[in-house]
Amino acid sequence: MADLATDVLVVGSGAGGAITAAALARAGRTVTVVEEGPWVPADAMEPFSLEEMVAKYRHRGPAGALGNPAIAYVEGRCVGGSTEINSGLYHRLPEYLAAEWRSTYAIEEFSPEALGGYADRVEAELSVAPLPGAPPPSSAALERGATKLGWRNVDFARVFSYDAQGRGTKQTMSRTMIPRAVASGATVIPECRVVRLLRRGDRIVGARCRRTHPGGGVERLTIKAEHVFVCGGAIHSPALLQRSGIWRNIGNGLKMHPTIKIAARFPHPVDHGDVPTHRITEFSPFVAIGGSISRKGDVALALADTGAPFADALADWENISVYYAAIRSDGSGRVAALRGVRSPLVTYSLSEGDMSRLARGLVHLGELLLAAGATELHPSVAGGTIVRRPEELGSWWDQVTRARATIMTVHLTSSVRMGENRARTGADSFGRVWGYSNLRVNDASLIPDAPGVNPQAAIMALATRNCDHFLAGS
Amino acid sequence: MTDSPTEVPSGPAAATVVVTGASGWLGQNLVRALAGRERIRCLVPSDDQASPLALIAPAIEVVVGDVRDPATVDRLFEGVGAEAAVFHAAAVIHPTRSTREFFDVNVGGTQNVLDRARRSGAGRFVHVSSNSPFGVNASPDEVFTEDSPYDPYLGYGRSKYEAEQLVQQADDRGDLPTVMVRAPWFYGPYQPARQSQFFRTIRRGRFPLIGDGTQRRSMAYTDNLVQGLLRAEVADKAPGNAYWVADARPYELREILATVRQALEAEGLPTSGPERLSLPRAAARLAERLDTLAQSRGRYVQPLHVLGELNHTIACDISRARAELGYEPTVELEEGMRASIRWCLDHGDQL
Amino acid sequence: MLWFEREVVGALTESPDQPLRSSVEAFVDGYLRDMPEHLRAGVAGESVLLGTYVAALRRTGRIPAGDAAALTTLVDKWETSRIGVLRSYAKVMKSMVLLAENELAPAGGA
Repeated sequence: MADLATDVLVVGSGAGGAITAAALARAGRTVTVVEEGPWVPADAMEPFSLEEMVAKYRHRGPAGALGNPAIAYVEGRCVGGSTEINSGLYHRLPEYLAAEWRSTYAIEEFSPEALGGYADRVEAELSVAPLPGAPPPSSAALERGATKLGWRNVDFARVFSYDAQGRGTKQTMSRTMIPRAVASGATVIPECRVVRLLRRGDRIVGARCRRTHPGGGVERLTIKAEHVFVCGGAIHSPALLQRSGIWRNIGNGLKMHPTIKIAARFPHPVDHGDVPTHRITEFSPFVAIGGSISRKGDVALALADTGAPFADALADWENISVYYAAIRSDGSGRVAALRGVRSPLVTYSLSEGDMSRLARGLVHLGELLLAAGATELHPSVAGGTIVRRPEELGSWWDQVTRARATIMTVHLTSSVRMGENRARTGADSFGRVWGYSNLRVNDASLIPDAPGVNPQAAIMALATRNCDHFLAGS
Repeated sequence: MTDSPTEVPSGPAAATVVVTGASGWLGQNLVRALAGRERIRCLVPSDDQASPLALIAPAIEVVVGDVRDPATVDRLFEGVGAEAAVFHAAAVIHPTRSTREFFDVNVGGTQNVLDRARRSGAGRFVHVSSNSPFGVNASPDEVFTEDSPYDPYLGYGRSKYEAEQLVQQADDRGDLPTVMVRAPWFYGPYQPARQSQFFRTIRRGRFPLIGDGTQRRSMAYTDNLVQGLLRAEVADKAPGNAYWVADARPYELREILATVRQALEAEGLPTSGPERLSLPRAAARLAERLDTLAQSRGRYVQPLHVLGELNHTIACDISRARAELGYEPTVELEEGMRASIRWCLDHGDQL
Repeated sequence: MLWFEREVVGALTESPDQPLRSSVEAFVDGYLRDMPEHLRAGVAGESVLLGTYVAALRRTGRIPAGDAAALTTLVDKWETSRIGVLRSYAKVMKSMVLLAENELAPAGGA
């Protein structure tokens, strides 16, 4: 068993962990980052490919939150975390939500000006830009349909930087903040899983880890630390805290953006390499509409959901693109570490209001896609009508039920929550876990509720803010 | 008290009106009040509800379909030019299959109608809302005002709350001018079968009086409510606002039961049984807990809901509707109940 | 990977191309291996139960032995079962094979 000592231990290297490591290393602190997953070179695999899924996703693919219905979700597990596998879409936390949360959760220093300042800093560090030039067909379809219906729509920016030829590179953490952290002196240890944090009274004194070597051997490693930042994401931050005996307001209140999909067939070929950047904001904050990755495998999966024969449609897959409607959920879920088992139990409960919102989202999405010129709509509903005309959309209302709808989420947040309202939160306004003097969380689990937009912008702004606070206090 | 509403600055009534929920209890009263307009486009859920409405006036056009269905709402607005007034009364209060209906119809339907109304350039959208997004009053003396905070009561409350958010958002972001009229428990002609049951039960002295019956309920006679909706359509100050519309004052529950019995007697229907059938508050609280439990499982059990709600004060203040809409209720409880009873008798229901 | 799981994957994989079939099986094997443990236990439990059930059907001649189409038909039936966990089982197996087969197939073919 080997021992390491460090000043700041950062658990996880995703949007929260990488920002934390870079900020603290730059300020001269001795930082060690442990990442459960491997280091995968950024250009090693085709984005969204099966190969990438196997290498970079936890569980090699989607996992499921149990419930009625179960909800599929994905997490990145590699250096850079979920930023290595996401769409890169970037949207600041809406001001009205920040105001609501400031009040409900009693979050200090949470003014629009302050948050805007942190977002400015994040954007200066990374490159945030909209897609240059004309949108590809999959994205253009959203704009076309929305224009016809008079629905508000916008092209979202992404953390992408573009070269002179207009070729874009996603600014993932492994390309940006992790190398900067290392350049500032941080150590990054991949393939190193924190089994448990070691506590003494109200202090964390270190972490018990298991590190896998390239050859395959597993080594037990104890890392002593003066300060610990847990950045494992909305599932694994609470799971680690629970494994370490910290349970109060940890793991409950998990939030998702439950999503229902349509595979839309167009009378012309569409692109398949990237996630559409266009979004329909007409029904925000209740329903958001956008496009999903539509490689052949994704199209096949989406077509299979109705249960009807789809060989004919699959043969035409190059004309098919997958779209989604995501809802604001009033339901919530729970993460619970299980004794003796590596993976926590994840559950989520959708309310009747949620189920209705999903049905409504599906119908709106259907209207949009037909207006955009789609000729055939395959909903992610078992036994769902394959819609070809607007008059058929109404049938979906009664078909979207718990037993028949296929629901997934790409976003997970809120399983710890930040704020001075101790009844509702697991950490204070700056991510310090209640009851501990040197333990912080700095990732999506702090966001008090689902943000209704891709969370990475909020995660990174909050992480920057919390690091400032840590540095000012120490 | 004058018969005609106080004069407040108002615009003209629209030549073309669109009414959803037209064959419902409120809708039938509303459509009759609108019968003089040039064009009245009505939405009803099924064919058998179409012809009785169409007979009211030649200017009435009926569209049959589901308010959740985009194609139906397209047909509803087809050929309706700009500046029409939309009265959105389509809603589910007592679902027959599951609590999903609350949300599908009350929210999904509202969204469709808002969307089409916006696209057709409607001049005003009058939304029929409820006390339910506000829950219950903390004490029998308290009343809801337009500044009261949201506190949705169960599934219906949550769905009407979400609907209010959609309607308010539409006005806030400039889609079209909207007004919300919050109607409490209403009564009057064209009532459904369940309301006859209400009269029958009271007539035989079997209607439960929870506790001492001093809990207060605002009620709205249909004529009063329709007047409020029509004022909301034209009052200059209305767009972007919500208004409580009800009879002049809330009534104690014991007063409601006593008044209905008097009204029955006055209309020649002798009453029997005890003057009041007391039921302890604990029974109503249990019913409410069971209602909450059932609804959390997607089930709606009407008697449980009704019994649970009878324990509470749900009362509102109509001052703002008076001041800004020029609303002035003209009918009081006994007169309104007598009119309802007469309507039942005229329609062959002996109660 | 349990024997029944291998059978199901084999039956669901449409392509006759042997290297592709092996890749699909390897993918599903890895996926099952890496599942959250309690979910894996549930799937394994169902595989044992369903495997026993299918073996019984074969013994009694209700379905022909070694007939991939018959097994596929059964899996399709399970996908519309009223029993939630049976639906999930069928869906997971079908989805993973569908995804792998379409993604791993050589470009232009399938």
